Amino acid sequence: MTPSITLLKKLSLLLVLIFLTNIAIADTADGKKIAFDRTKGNCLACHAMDDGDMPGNIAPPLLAMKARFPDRAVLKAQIWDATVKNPISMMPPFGKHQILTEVELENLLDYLYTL
Amino acid sequence: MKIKTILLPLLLTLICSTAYAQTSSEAEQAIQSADKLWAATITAGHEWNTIKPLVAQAKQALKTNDFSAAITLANRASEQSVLALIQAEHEKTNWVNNLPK
Amino acid sequence: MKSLFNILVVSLLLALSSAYATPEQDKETFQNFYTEMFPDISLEGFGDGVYALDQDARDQWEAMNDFPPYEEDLEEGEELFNTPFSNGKTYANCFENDGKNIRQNYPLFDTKQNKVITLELAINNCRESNGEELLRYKKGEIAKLSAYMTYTSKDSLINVKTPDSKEALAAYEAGKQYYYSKRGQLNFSCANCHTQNAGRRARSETLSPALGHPTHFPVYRMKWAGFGTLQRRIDSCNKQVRAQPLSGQSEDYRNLEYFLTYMSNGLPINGPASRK
Repeated sequence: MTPSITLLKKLSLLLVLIFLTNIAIADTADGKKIAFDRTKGNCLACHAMDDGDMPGNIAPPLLAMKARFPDRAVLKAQIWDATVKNPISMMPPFGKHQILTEVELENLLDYLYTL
Repeated sequence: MKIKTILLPLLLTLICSTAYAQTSSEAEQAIQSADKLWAATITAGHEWNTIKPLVAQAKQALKTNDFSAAITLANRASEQSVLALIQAEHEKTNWVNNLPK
Repeated sequence: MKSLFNILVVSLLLALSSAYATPEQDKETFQNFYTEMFPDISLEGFGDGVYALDQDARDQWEAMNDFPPYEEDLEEGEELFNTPFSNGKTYANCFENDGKNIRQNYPLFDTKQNKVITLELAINNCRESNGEELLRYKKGEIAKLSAYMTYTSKDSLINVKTPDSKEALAAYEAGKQYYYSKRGQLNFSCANCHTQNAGRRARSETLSPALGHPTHFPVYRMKWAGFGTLQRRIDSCNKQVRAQPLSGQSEDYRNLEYFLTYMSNGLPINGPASRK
């Protein structure tokens, strides 16, 4: 194998990596948008999080999500329909009631795990 | 040969027009059932304000012959109506949990 | 055996007591809930809503009230109230005490029609019986008239009669169930915000306690640039939880107003009030 081909291989690998991380960053950026958008997640209405301005204090701050929800499925279930765990929970059932789409929910989860 | 050249386009238009009629009536049907379910949520006292715009958009799509959009929108209105009806049914007993202790 | 049965029945009733409490017991539990949650606020203080809880907001509100934004509309309400119908009669002829100082008794349950009568419905009933056109509910003239009638009732204690017939009790129970039921795509009950989370903030907005809500309506809201009745305000709540608002004086709204006002029995009327 000539050195130029190895270099080319390395470069293309790098390109693929950049491409993939960009997708990941794009996902969490979308997730943040969904979280902050008043017509979507509107998480700030109740939760303090990230650099969100004037958050509500109805529910606990969203931080250390990896430690608090090691199982992604558990966090997803909570966002999907919080009334399963607590029948009078004030948290809207974002998945069950079609407030967010499946894709939006996954993007939101990606973002929440960066907190 | 001559018959074929006449028959083929004829057959094609026939297929196309039945497909057109089918999606058109499918859209009308989807809107009809959305209308019914939406009305049921009003009777149940649990209408969501998201349903009405979906039905209106579906009807608008039907008018402009965008049948697939009409069907998608009407189905979403139906789904949300069903969810509102489930909510109404659930709250018949669940409301008690909200009482101050 | 019979006594055992009785014990069973009594314990069952106790277990279900909060759901099947009498209206008086409901009111006690309801008012105690808030006075324990906010021990520094007097019972009548709850009539000021969020301004009883948030000193900064209260300061701004009091400054605004140096020149109440509703003055003109209130004067118009008085004029409307005193303008005779085409048959020469006036609103005063329809009500007890010439329509002055009566807001505290509404809503009341009419045993002849078997329905809850709010003050606004009574105003339109008065117009109807005098051959006048009905007014549109929730805002405009009806809110101005109602505001004037509230104004003449200032400091009187809310005195909604305890439901004393099967039908009245059913209306009360329906209003109670409405208050505690989750609704809308966002799945909120009135109680989620105004009972369980009263005093907490949704973004920068403090959630007001339900106790004291009915003392000060109609409210002049800067956002509305005019008066709105309690039912207009409930429309706003419904929209926020993505539930479709009901039409003015619909049965559900009247029953809700009946329950909600009964919960505030004993609090002084302090409306009309201004809100941002």
